Amino acid sequence: MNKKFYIIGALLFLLMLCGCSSDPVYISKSSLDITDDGQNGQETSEVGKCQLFITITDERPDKKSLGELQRPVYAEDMTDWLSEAFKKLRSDGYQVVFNNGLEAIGGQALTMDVKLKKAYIKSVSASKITNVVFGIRYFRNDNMLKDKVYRGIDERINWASSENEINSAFNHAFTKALLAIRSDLKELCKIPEEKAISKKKNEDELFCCIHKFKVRL
Amino acid sequence: MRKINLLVILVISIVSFGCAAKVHTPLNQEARENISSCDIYIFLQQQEIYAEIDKSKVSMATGGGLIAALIDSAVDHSRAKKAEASIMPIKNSLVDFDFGNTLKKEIQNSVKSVTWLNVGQINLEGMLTEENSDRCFVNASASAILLVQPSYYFSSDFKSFKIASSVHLLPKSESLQKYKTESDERPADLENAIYKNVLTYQEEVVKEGEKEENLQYWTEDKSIQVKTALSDGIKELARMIAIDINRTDLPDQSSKGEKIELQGIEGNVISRDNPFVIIQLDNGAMFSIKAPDNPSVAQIAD
Repeated sequence: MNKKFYIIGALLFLLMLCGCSSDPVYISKSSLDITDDGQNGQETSEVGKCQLFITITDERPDKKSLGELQRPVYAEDMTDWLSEAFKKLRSDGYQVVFNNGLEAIGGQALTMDVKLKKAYIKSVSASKITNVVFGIRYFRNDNMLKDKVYRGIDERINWASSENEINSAFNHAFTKALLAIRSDLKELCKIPEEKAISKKKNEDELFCCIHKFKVRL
Repeated sequence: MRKINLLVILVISIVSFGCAAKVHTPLNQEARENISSCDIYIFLQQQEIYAEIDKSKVSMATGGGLIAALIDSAVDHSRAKKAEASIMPIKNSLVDFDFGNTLKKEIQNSVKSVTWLNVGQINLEGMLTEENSDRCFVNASASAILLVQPSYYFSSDFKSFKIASSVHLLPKSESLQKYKTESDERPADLENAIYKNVLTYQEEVVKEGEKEENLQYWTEDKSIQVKTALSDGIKELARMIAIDINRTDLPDQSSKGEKIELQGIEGNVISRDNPFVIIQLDNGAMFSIKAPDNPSVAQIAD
């Protein structure tokens, strides 16, 4: 009986120590686990031709800190982390290329200028609240199509401020932000097709008029 | 039994008294003369504005227990979610507002008037951790370093907006070490401050209403009121830093001045620069309150 008590006591003590740890947490891209909330086959085939040329900039004044959850939270390189997150768009069928000094793939590529504005976790009483905010400007052929701010939020009860909890909170927040981006990409990737269709229609009409003119002559 | 109760109350009172943190340590005149230069470090504790929540007190009311703690936790979580949702339009309108650099510029301007402080570098830092403050302390080339830790937020009912900051002046040069009132082995520990205070800017809605009405006041017209409040608050915080570090008189000496109560804050008037009134509380803490021709300014008779 006593032995059991000691074991339970020791376990509780260890659990308390784990919960009270004030050591900083470093999150890395290896902890990235964004839900691959991909789209169905039909939509995938629609976006398959859409090429995304992505540039990511971290605009935060303090590029290391990700806030505090009873312990400081850090990430060494969030642009690296974000690149991994945006690679998830490949599972939707997009052709994703990151700016490594290369030119955009063809004139029809959709250029995404992604700026990370905020990324932090904080504790509010017994809860933990995580926010990630991006500003994205979409361009095609140097014409800006859209300029929008996306925010992913995750709100959960904070159990022990553990590394797993912190990683999970950021993953959920990123997933939510990415969901809104995916929704806009669907619309933006349709534009060139519509334009292409209307261009073809105009060409057909012109050819038809020329043909009629020739016949009259 | 009654004796025991009295004894318990007495012990609690003594313990509470012992725990009360000293808010203000004015800068000693002699110490001031030994400061040859000062570097300033602004530690940003938050990336975005937030709203406070009223914490659930079921545990307190029922005397504790696991069930009560769980209820508190659930209620607080729900309130935190609601507060986050309420403040979202304000957050979105401030995404590109650079709080840190705006404050840095204002402090740069305000401390120009404090010539004896001879301010060198003003640096923006992340959160104040032991690691960060130790690094700043080692890197500073000045004889003293001033640490500023601002936070900006709304009250839970969105009635008031505040920018509050603790400020600590740490001695670095050997000649300043003797002015420490308390001492810690870590040179960058805030306990070693030779001057410290809590400075707060406060602004309230023009016409108080329910939470939703208050929120509307701040958010209407692309949150123009919040942007103005932030801009005013940052300027006032920078002004208070310059005023307070320049004062060598103790709060009890300043209590001879005009006493007022403004937006629930009672103290002595330090400065009036319409619409801002700077007040020092009895514990030395300083408030700048925006009160444009406010009839609620109550003059307190001596």
